[in-house]
Amino acid sequence: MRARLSTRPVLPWWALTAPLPVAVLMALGSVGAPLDQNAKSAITDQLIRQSLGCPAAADKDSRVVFGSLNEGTSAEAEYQLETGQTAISVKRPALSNEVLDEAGVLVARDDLAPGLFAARVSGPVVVPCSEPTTELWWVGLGASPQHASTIHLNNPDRGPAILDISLYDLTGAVEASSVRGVRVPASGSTVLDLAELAPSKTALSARLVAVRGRVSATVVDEFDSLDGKTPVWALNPPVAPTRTPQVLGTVQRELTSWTLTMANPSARTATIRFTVSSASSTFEPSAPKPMRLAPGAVSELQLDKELAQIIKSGGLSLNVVASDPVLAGLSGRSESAAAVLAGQPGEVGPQLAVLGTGKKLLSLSGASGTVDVVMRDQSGKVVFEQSVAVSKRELGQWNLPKTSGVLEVRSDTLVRAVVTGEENTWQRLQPLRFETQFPAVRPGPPS
Amino acid sequence: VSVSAILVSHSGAAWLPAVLSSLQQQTVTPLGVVAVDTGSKDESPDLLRAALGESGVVLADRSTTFGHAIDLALPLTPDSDWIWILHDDCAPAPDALAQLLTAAEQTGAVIVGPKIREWPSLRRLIEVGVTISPTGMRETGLEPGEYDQGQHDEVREVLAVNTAGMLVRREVFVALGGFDRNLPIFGNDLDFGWRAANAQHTTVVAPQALVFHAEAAHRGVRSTPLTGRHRFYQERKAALYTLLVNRPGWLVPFTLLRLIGGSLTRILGLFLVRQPGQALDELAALLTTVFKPMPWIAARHARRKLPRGDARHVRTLLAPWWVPYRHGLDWLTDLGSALVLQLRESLGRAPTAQAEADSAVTEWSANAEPEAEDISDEQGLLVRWVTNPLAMVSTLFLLGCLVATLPVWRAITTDYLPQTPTDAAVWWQLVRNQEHALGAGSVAPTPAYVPVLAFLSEVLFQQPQLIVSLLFFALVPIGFWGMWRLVKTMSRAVNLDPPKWVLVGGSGLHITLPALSGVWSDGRLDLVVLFTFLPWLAKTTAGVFQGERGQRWRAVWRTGILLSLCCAFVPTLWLVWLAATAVGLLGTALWARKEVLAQEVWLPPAVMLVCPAILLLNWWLPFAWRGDWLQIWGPFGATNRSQLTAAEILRGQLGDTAAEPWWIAVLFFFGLLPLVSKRTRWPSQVAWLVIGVAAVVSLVFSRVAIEVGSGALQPAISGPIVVVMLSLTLLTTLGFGVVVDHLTKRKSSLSRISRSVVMVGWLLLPVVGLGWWLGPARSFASVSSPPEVPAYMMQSSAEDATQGVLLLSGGPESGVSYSILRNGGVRLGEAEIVAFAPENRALTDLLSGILRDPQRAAVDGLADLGIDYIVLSAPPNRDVAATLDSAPGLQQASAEDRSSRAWDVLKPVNQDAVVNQAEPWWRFMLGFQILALLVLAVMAAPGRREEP
Repeated sequence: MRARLSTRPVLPWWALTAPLPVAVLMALGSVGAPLDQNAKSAITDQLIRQSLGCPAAADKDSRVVFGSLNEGTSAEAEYQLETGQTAISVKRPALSNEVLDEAGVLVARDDLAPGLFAARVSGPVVVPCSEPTTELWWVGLGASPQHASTIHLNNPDRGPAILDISLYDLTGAVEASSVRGVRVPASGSTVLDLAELAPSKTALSARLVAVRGRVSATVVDEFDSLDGKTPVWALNPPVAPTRTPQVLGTVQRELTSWTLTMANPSARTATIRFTVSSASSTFEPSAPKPMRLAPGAVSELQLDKELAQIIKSGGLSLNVVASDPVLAGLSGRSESAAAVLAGQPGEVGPQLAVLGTGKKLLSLSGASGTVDVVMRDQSGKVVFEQSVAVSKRELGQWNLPKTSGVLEVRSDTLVRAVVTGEENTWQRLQPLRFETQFPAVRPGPPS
Repeated sequence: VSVSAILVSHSGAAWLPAVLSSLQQQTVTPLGVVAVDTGSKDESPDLLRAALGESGVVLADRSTTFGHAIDLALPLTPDSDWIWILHDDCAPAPDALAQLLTAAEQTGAVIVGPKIREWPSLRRLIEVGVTISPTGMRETGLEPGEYDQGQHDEVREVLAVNTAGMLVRREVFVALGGFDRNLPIFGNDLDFGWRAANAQHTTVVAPQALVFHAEAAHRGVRSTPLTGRHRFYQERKAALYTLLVNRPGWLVPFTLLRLIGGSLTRILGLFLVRQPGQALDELAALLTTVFKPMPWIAARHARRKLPRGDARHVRTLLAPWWVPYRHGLDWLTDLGSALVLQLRESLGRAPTAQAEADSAVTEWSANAEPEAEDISDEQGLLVRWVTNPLAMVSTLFLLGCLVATLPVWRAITTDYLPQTPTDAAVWWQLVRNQEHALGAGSVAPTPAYVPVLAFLSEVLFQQPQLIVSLLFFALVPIGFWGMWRLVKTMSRAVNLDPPKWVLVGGSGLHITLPALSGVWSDGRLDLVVLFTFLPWLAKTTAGVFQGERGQRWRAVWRTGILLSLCCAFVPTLWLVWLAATAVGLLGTALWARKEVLAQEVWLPPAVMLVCPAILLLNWWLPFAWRGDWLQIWGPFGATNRSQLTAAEILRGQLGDTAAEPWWIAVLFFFGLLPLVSKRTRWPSQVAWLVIGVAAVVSLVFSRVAIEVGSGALQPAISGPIVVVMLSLTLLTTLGFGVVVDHLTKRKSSLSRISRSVVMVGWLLLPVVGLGWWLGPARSFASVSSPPEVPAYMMQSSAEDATQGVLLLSGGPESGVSYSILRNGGVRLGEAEIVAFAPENRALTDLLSGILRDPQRAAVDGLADLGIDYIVLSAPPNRDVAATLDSAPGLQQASAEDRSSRAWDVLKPVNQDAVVNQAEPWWRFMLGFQILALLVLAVMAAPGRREEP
């Protein structure tokens, strides 16, 4: 027995061999994950060319106001008419006022391009000039005698733009073959009357997609009570599908009839609840009740009583909080005025609005933080300057000087800024572009 | 009739006693015998003096030529009618001289030679007269090793007879000037006989006179200062000299040309049979003769004084013109036979190997139940097939596999396999060029597998598609056969003799693995080639470490070639082989440190690993030159679609249509069995070590990113995983062999039943694999849609490589990637060249500029870079499309469908934007590789066996 023990190896055979398969399994199990091929990002650089499309004048007193917040010196801007002619060519104005009737495209290069802004101003009414884009959404459009919407399209480029417009009403998608392949001529403009495209339809939502080229667009809603009184009109600003809580403007007491239109462009049913912001808090109203919106569906709520109750209780704005990206717009009207309050998710960074004359009220809400507010008049002189604290749960309001000018709001946090003025004018501040975001370009796999 | 004998000796003490004795025993005694010793280093002079006396021996120095030696002896011989010349290594029969004299008397010949037999065999014929062929070869008219059975015993006129035993009339010898001093030792007989024939003298051979000749100088048994170590050089030089001196003057230029051509052919042949020494001797003899013509020109001049006879009669004594060609044909036949024999040896079917195998089988059969192979050979093939279930199953299985391969006979295009060019010239162009008109222009090296494909397509009727199909198809016959041989070899190494059904199961499982792992249906040509040839590579690699020295070195060259072939498709395999070899040598060093340092231990594997580095020089050297070492290990097709995760590897899923991982579990489980069995433990540990090495290589490479213009590529880790699979299949097969062996040795009925169950289970594995192959894995999958390029753009790019189509995809958020389509789309072998090209910064910057601020100058720059159209892939990003819409210099072009967008660059393209450019340096390198391949092939081929 002792002899047998003495010839036995120090380690059993399995102790020498077992580690091999185990090591193999461990090595194979540790093989790394595939390389991330999507580590590509956009490149940001200073804007060197910017164009804004401006609609045609609604009355003879309107003028185009434009300028730039960039500090550069040498730059030029041109207002190109759809005839191909150049209406103006100016160098670095502090704030330019030009009487221009025709629709056109304001093109700025080099130092004037970053922070470019423009708007058509007529008294207290301001229609912002918009940046050309390839996709736009609107809600609360109409194509009936009582509520008719027209879309003013501007093509800033030297090739024609081809558009597909999809319309949705309370029953779903609207069949309208003529809104496919809409052609906007090169450097030209086109006006689409929804009453011609989808007669008698109401509570419309529209999606504009440029399949070729790009356009800037302005939508004007005209409300007619059909009782012989003068129709009233309002700008219907574009909206974007978002899950971020949207502030539907600040409700104006003069307006009595309120209609909330919502659309769900996502593929999932959205759960929507409403909140109301006052000067001291944000709370959930007893009405309207939370609701669910099916994919592709459009909903229209008449909120005359509910908003009256909200105003009575000190509420200043109606907010929409959705589980999925939705579109929301609130239109209010009275016998003499109308306003369309588009959902406002807010912006981070500098925002600006060209202001008309008359009384004006600035409403600010958003994430808690400090906001710098500066208003300049036509000569560039600062007429209002204040650093204000914005609370997440409150809506702050400030009166602005009656003079026309430019209002600039700067903040590092999310801020929803809205200005209401005389004649029930309403406009949200627009983000300014100082930088351009263009794709990172790199070789792809062989083809 | 009087005869004097002259004996020339040089270090011939080994034979002299017998020679002198036979001289004394002659029935006709010469008048006198004079011996000339040319500086012997042995006791030859003493032996001669003892036999012939002091006066009968002339001592000359070592540089004395044969002819000079005769001249020294001639004056000392008694005045006689005849001279009988003898060598110190030739022993005449007692009646030799008498028979020679009789023949001379009967024929009137002045030169008579004996029949010469081999000494010491005494039976084989060496010469019965001799002549010379038009290429200078010595022609005896005898078969090599022909036995003397009296078949040549006829006195006849010949051109010459050997100087060993030559009887020549003294006055004729003197009149002809004796032997030529320019011929030190070889060729004297032919030259003298031809000279005599030209002078109308008759030479006959007298077969009744017998001389035994050791041919010590010719066979290299002894060396003399006159031949040195280059005996073959002296022989060839003498032969060429003889031809040029004796042929008619007007034939000399033609003779010279033919000698040059013949010698070069012989040099090539000698290289092919791995006799470089003789080849160089041949070359040296040719060069010496051609570039130093004075000796033979002077000799021709001197011989003008001699009388000239009937040239037509002399021609009848020379060998016919066709003799060299017949020898060439014989040589080729011999080479073919040798190759077949070598192949049989390497396959283990040589008589010796078969005998060993048969003995093992016999031994095993004694204890086993009758196997299928016991069926009598006398029965017909069909009967044997029908009565052999295993043969039937195997045949049906292989037929099923062949059915599964039917889709390869059409053009295959998958995610991993671009379209095959219709003309092999495309591949040759890739091989030849340093700069390629592909993509944005590329100077990346051509993939290593392209020369292989180009060469094979040349061999097979210029059909590139046929080559690709054949490579896929070869998996069944060659992969099956290779795995069979590998298992057989490994089994024999562990004294295991598994039944054939175990081999069938293992080999069958191996060839279904590509289908089970999803490699087949993905069209992974690289991995299918690896599955096909890896068993052969493993088998030859095993040969590098075992066997005799010659066999080992042949295995080294074969492994080098096979490793190069596999690495051409899967470069990472080289690292697996390198790491496995290193681990093996390190492991050996632990046990025997000194032995590892021995050259014969480390040199063969080192050479084996160097071979791919030489043969694939075109692939890796340009990368190394640029410092892009990682790109050498890039994946086949330069695609990242072959990336593998740990989960996929452990499930054996190398492709999209892989089967459920039951089979990899079987392989892992049964691969452990050989570790348990004591008999197979050691080799299976080695196999598991190889698996471990392959796994570690995969692990390391999975963490590596190869930076190329289009981003990061992962090295081809699929190759090492195939090594893992092959090793596991081998281990599993051996494991089943062990189980069967264990069960067979037990005689209980339970063991018999268990054995049957194991057999059915084992054979079921490949059958199920075949089922998967015939089912989901049969068709080649292509999950990506072709680029949305309109037909007119494809045609334009195919007709002119400079008319490129810029393909864009992505958008502002994900980034825009671009590629340039030329030649109607990327073809097999081109993807790597495009992908490994350094990024064309000019193009990238141009595109960035256009997307940022479209200006006419930037758009025109696209035309300058050879871009005629732009296509934005579906779904087109609207921002990018809108930007291009607004770009001056671009015009809307009709797209393939509404989902994509296209533009025409208005400025005409620059015709010189991209070019194909070949460099002489690359041709030189290619030539070097071809030469290296030829040398390796020669070294791997069987050599010419030394004559006994």
